[in-house]
Amino acid sequence: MFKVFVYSLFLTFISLIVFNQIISHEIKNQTRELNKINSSIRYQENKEILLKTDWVVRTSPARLKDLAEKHFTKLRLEPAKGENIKFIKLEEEKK
Amino acid sequence: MGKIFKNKLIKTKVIAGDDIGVFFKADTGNTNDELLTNNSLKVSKERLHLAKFFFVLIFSIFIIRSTSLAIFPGEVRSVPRSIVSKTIENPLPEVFDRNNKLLVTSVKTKRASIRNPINPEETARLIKAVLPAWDENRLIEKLKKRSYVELADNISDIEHYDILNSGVAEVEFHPVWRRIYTNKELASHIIGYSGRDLVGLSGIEKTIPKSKLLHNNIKLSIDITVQFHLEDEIKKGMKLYNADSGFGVIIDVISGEVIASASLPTFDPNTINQNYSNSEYKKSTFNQVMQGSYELGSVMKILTLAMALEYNKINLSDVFDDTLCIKIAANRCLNNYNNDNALEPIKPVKCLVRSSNRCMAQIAQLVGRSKQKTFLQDVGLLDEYFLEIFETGSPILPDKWTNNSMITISFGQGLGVVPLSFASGIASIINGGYKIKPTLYAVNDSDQRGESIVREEVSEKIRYAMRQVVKNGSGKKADILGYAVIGKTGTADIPCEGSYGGCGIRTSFVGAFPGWNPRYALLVSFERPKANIKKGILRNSSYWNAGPAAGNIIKLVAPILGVEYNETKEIELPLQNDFINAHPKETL
Repeated sequence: MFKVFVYSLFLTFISLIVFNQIISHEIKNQTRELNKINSSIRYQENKEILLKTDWVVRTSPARLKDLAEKHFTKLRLEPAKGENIKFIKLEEEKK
Repeated sequence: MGKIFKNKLIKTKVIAGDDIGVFFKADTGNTNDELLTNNSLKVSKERLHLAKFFFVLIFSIFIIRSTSLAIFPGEVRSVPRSIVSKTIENPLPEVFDRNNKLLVTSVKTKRASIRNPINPEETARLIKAVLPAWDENRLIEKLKKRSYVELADNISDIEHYDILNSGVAEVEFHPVWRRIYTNKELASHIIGYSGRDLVGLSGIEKTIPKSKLLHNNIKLSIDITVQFHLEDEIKKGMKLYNADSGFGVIIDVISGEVIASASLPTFDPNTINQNYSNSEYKKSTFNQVMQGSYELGSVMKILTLAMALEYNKINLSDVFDDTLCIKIAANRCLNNYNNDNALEPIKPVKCLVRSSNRCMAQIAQLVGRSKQKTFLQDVGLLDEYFLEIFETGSPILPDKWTNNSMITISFGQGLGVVPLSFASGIASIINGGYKIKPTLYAVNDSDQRGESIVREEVSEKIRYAMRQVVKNGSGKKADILGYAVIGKTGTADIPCEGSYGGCGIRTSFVGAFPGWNPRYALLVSFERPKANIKKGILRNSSYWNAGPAAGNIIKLVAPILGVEYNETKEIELPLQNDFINAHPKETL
C-alpha cells in the first residue's frame, strides 16, 4: 500500500507539474496575443486622433473660405444669407 | 526471503514499501533480540510516516504556488520599464466648441534624445543629415559637455524612421503628448496655450478644473465659425481703415455665453513656445476684450439714458437745449462732436441719435453723481468681473468722482471699462433689464438672467432709441435688412500723457440683433483708424469704420446663429407710462 501510495503521489506531482507547465505556456501565449491586440488598439486610437485632428484642420472655417474663394468660378459658394434661411422655411411650410 | 525459526516465518530484511504489519503479526516471540528488532522497526515506521507527511506538505505548497503563479501572472510586482512608459495617460482633456467641433486635442508623438555617444563628431554629422535644424558645431559642443542631450520634440514617424536608419546607436525615443490647436489662431486668447509636458500656461488651458482633467471633454461657449467671421471681418477692417489694433465680442444676452471674442493682432498657440521671446508675439498675447480697459466714448450714452429713465428723472417727451453752455473749466464750455449742435430743443431719443454730449451732460446732472455711480456699479462696470480664465482686466476709475467726471462719464470719457463687462452691461439692459454674467463654458442656451437692473419698459425704450440711431443716425451702415439692428456708435479720444487730443481715436460700435427681441449683443472697436479716401472712407469716425464692420459681421453671423430674418418687423415706440410704475429703488 505504502509503495502504491508513494508511486501514485509521485505520478500526481509529475502530472500536475506538466499540467502547470502547459497552462503557463498557454497563458504566456495568450498574454502575448493580448499585448499585441492592446498595442494595436493604442496604435489605432492614436491614428484615430490623428485622423480626427486632420479632418478638423481640413474643414476649419479659414481653409474652407479660402477654398471657396479659390474655386468660386466653378462652385459659386457664398456665405449663407438671412434670405436663404427664410426661403427654406417657406419651402418647408409648403410641404 | 525468510528462514524457519521456532516454526515461525520471520523476514530478515525489511524493504521500504513492504507490508511491515504482516511481519509483526507473525512474530510473537519474546526474546530480547526480537524485542529490540521490534522496537527499532516501530521507530522507523513512525519516521517514515513523518517524512511522508512533510513530503506531501512541501510538494503541495510547491504545486499551489506554481499553479497560482501560472494562472495569475499579474501578482508579479516588477514590470519592465518599456511597458510602463507605454501606459502614460493623456493628462489634458479635449476641448470642443458649442457645436461639438474639436478645438484642442492631444496627439502622441516622440521625443528623441541622445545619451553618452562614443564619437560626438560622427554622431553630430549623422544627426545633422536627419535633423537639419541642428547646427553641427553646437551639437558637438553639447554632446561633449553633457551626457544627455535632447535632439527634438514631437518628431514625425518619417523622422523617427530616418533617425533609426542613420546608424546612431545611442539615440533614445520617449513617447510624449503634444497639444494640437486645430484652428490655429482662432480664439487663441480664450483657449490659451500650454507649454512643454502639457502644462497649461494661459487661457482655458491653464484653468481646466481638476475634476475635468481625466476622461472628460470640455465644451466652450464659443462657436468657431462665428469666431472665424468675427476675426476675419476685424482683420479686414484693420487693413481697410489702417487701424493699429481691433477687437470684437459677441455674447448671448439671455445666457451670457461668449459666442465669439476676437482681439487682433493675435497669435498661433501651436508655435508660441518657439516664438515667445519675440516681442511682437508677446504683445499679441494681450487679450484686449478681457484684459484691456478703454474709454469707449459715446457708446456709454446708452447707459446714461437708461439710468435717467430707470430713476424716472426724464421722460421721452422732455426736451433739452443743445446750445446751452455746460462749464467744464473756468472759461470752457462742453463741446459736441465737431461742434454739431442742434439749434432747436431736442428730445432724449434725438439726443442719442445726434450723439449730443451737452444733452447727455444735462441728463446726468438731473440724475446726480452718486446715483450715476450706483447705477454703473449695478451694471457691473466699476468692479472686477469674474471669468473662467486668469487673464482678466479691471476698470480704470477716476481718482475722485467729481461733477466734471460725472459729466465726462455720461458721454464715455474719463472711465476705462473692460470691453467684455461693457458688452455684458449693455446686454443686461436690452434683454429686458436682467443682469447676465459672461461665461466661457457652454450652458446650452439656458436662461441665466439674474436680478433686475432696469425695468422692462426702460429696456424697451432703450431698444427703440438704439434702433433710431441705426435707422437715422450714425449707425446707418450697420443697418442690415431683416434683423432691425439696434446699436450705438462711439468715437473716443485716446488719452496720452495726461491729456486728450493728438493721440488718435478709438471708434466702437455696440449693438444687438434682432432688434425686436435681442438675442446677441455685439461690440466692435478699432484703435486709431484712418480715413481711406481711395476706398471711399472719407473720415475716421465710427460711422465710417466700426459701424460698417459691425454690419458685415451681423450679415455673416446672424444666419449661422439661426436668428429670425424678417424684413417687415420694426420696433415701435412703447407707450408713455413712465411715472405709473415707479421702481422700488426710487421708493426706498
